[in-house]
Amino acid sequence: MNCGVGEGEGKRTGRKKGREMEMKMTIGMGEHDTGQALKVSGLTRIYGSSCPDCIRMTGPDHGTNICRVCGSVVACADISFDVMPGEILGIVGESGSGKSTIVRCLYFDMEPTCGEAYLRCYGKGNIFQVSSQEKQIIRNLYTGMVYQNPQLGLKFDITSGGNIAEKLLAANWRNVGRIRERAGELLERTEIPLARMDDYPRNFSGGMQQRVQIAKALANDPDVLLLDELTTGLDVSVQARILDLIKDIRRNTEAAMVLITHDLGVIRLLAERTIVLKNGRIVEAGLTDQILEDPQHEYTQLLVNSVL
Amino acid sequence: MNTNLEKNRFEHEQPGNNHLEICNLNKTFTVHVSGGKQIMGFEDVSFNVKRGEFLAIIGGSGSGKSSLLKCIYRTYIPDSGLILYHPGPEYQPTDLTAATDHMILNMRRSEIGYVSQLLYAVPRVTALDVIAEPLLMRGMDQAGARDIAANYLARLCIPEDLWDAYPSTFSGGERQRVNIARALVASSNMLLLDEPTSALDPASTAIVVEMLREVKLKTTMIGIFHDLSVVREVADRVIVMKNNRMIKTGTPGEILGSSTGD
Repeated sequence: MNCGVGEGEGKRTGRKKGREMEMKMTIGMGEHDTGQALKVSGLTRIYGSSCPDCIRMTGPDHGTNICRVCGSVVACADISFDVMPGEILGIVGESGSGKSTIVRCLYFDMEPTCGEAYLRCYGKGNIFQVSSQEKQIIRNLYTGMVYQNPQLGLKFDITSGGNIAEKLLAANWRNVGRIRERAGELLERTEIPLARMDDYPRNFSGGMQQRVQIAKALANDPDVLLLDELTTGLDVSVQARILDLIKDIRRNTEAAMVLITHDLGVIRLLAERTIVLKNGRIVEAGLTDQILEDPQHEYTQLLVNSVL
Repeated sequence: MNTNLEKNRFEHEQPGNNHLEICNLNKTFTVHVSGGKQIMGFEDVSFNVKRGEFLAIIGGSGSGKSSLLKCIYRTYIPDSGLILYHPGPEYQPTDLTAATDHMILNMRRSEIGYVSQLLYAVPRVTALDVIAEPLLMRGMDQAGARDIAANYLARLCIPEDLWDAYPSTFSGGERQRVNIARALVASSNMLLLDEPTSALDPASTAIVVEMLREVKLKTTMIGIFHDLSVVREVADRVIVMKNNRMIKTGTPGEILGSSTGD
């Protein structure tokens, strides 16, 4: 199978991946392969010493994610979900409910305490168990991340084109002309004027910084895009353009997207399915229209009824 | 009453010809934010819909009609009962109450369409693109899809200068027509209609009725209507709901009388 390094420029397939996707499917996750682009099971992350009572003493039933016995913080526990190619999965919940922890673990920004995750395009098993070199490959070739804070996703002292080139170089692109061409193409797609390619992200507006982040995340045609509160803090007209861009990506790629937000309007607009988190646990999962119109869990009802 | 319905169900049944079978379906809402208050949606509803049949549901506001339709589409989760969907004679039926979210999403793409009463307009998408979208999802090219969409808009008498405008700026009636066109263009095998003509004037209603009659041959439809003249024109069978129960079923003539009969 040819999923490792050295795929470089060959992986550049532009729009619909079609046949390539099918090929990947057959070599994908082995026994875990039922078509999902991403499958997560039992993901748990605990900050602190942790004790045998941590899981039992926290969660929505206790109204807290801090263990009363040892004081550890259970950021998320027993999180399981899957995302199909081309699908957008929404994750909603209040601040501190563990939303970001999930995507940070999936992008290897932090290590989970336990749990498994499988990518369809990456056939070497649980991605949390592989070597750090392998993790680097997964990060560069198969996943893309957009952070709420652009300072985490971009290097502000490198040009916007350079930021994208960094991701391409990591995927073994070597031809400078083609790297520039690809960076230009991505900036164009995310509606950044080409003239700003050699400008620094620190000189960009918040909305433009988010779009450069998206361009960077898209650089290697990832199979899974992780979007963490990507419109939070932007004014509504800028939000609208970013959301339209995400819809455009959905139409033109097969990328599976995990969309974290506390904005139910964003969920309604983009996500087919939604999971609701409280105190680090999934309290409800379902079709987005069902979550919004017939919420089952008390917390989801509160959330839906709190919309202004 | 229930045994009567059951009897009816088996007498009229032609094996293999049912498109949807609903058996003893119940729905209550538990409102935790109001101290666990229970609100009745509907109880003990059973009926069958044959392939190609047009079933109208009538009854007063709050009688559970919309809840029933939303349970079929899985916007609501029923408490108990069965909803058996028969994709075709060579396939096993699917119980929509137990189907996974992925299965329901797949069915929504090709099998079951829904026209909402609430006219939710997706922001920043033009009327043409709203209607063309289901076609694009099935792989039609942009130009072809927009052509077909334009045809629908013309037929539904939406002024041409609105075609490239956003439906969020449209009147209620215009939006409802865009919604209907989007549902019809998807040519699902089953269409759920929640008061599709409620915001329309008589002229637009007549056009919509004509379009519904055209797709009737290849589409099974379940529709909620308040306008009984529409029911007389399109429905093969009528279900009457009252106080969250199904109280009567029969032909439009039997239920509504034959004052304008055909």
